[in-house]
Amino acid sequence: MKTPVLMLVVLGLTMAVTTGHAHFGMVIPERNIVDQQQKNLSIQLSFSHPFEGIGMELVKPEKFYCLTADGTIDLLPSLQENQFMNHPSWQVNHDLRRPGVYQYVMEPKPYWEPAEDLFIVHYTKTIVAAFGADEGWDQPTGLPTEIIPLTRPFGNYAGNTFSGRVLLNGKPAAGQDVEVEFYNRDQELKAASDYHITQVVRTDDQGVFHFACPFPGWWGFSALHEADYTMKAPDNTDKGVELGAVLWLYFDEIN
Amino acid sequence: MKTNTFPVTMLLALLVLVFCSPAHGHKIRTFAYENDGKIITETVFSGGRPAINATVKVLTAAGEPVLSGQTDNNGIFTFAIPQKVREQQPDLNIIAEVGEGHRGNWFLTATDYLPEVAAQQAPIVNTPASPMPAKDDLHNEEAHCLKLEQRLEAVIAKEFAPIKRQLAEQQTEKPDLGDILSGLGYIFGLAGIILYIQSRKTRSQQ
Repeated sequence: MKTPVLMLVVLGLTMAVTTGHAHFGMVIPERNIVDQQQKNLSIQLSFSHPFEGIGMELVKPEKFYCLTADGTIDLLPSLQENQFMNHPSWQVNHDLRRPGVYQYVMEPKPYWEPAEDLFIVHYTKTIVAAFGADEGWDQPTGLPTEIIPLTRPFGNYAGNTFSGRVLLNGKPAAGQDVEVEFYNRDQELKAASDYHITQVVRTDDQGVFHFACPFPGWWGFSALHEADYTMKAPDNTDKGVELGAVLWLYFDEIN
Repeated sequence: MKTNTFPVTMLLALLVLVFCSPAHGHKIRTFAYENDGKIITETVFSGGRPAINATVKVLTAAGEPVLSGQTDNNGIFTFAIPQKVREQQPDLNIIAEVGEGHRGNWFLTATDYLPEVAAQQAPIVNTPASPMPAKDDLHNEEAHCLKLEQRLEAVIAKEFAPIKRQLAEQQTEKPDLGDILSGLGYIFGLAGIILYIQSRKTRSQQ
């Protein structure tokens, strides 16, 4: 009987895939296009390794808000604690009333990562279009670092190429690595190799990058920079800070 | 061998005609809301440019015309809620049309434009459990139980509302890639078992 051997190999492989991969702040709404059939939107906030489905604790963010053409809606007081990937996370319901492009922005508290000997701050956003509105999706939110879409960030199919510009302190960030990861929600996709879990594309002189997303679902883009400041680690030493500009986009299946 | 492709071509042409509305590229969208006893409609082209002189038709959900009008230079058309609409409280379908084939609509429910209807339909949670038992009965154990039961119902209704909504949402969800893959997995798996049994049968027959 070969079965027990095979089981052992599978188990071994599973355990060999460690948590060493990219961290991603996550802001995932139920849908990125809202119509009149359903005006309420549930949004899940978390911090994880999205391809491998490994969660980490997300303490209550510093800020969570929604930017629209009419102004900013503070959603921090509406956040409710829940569990996501078996870790403490946050969830909110938002009633959308007017047509508009809604940018949801999470500014987390710094996360101390002993394995990497640094703090992680991922400014994370996603963009939802409601009731046919299609203007304002390229408006900067004013975060210290962010990805500005050049491709309209909704109504795209799997296989479409997404282009974006990375801003750092409001200026294009040239030669910047952007990590790309698929949110492997039901753990059905297996990476061809460890390299495939987190894919990487680099920005050009104008801070622009392009990436084609092969599967339907949520794709996270994370442009990482080392901050020009340090923070005090638990042992009271000064440690570097990794700043991430994270953007989550949905690519639809072609039926 | 010559196959007759004419019917297929015709069918394709028909499908193209059915599915390609001419409105794309300059889609319009309409939005309506109530403010101070009036209904305000906004009609814009994609990109946000106002649709000027668009015809706005207001119908009941049943399709009965209520009124119509034209948008102004800002794409806005405002009307006072007619008395008849106020009394009958129909849901309204607001349709804006401009030029050829540019059409948008907004569905405005009675709860959207009549604050008093919205108040009636609000969850019963914050209203006292009704009917209140008469004063004489307050010491009556049965009445007490009834009151408790009503309170519990209100609490349960409140707690279960999000779950109910989530269930309703799940029912409308389409199968995703995972569902399809696992479905295919089942099919291949079952087919494999059948083939295996069949091959065993053939072998034992030999």
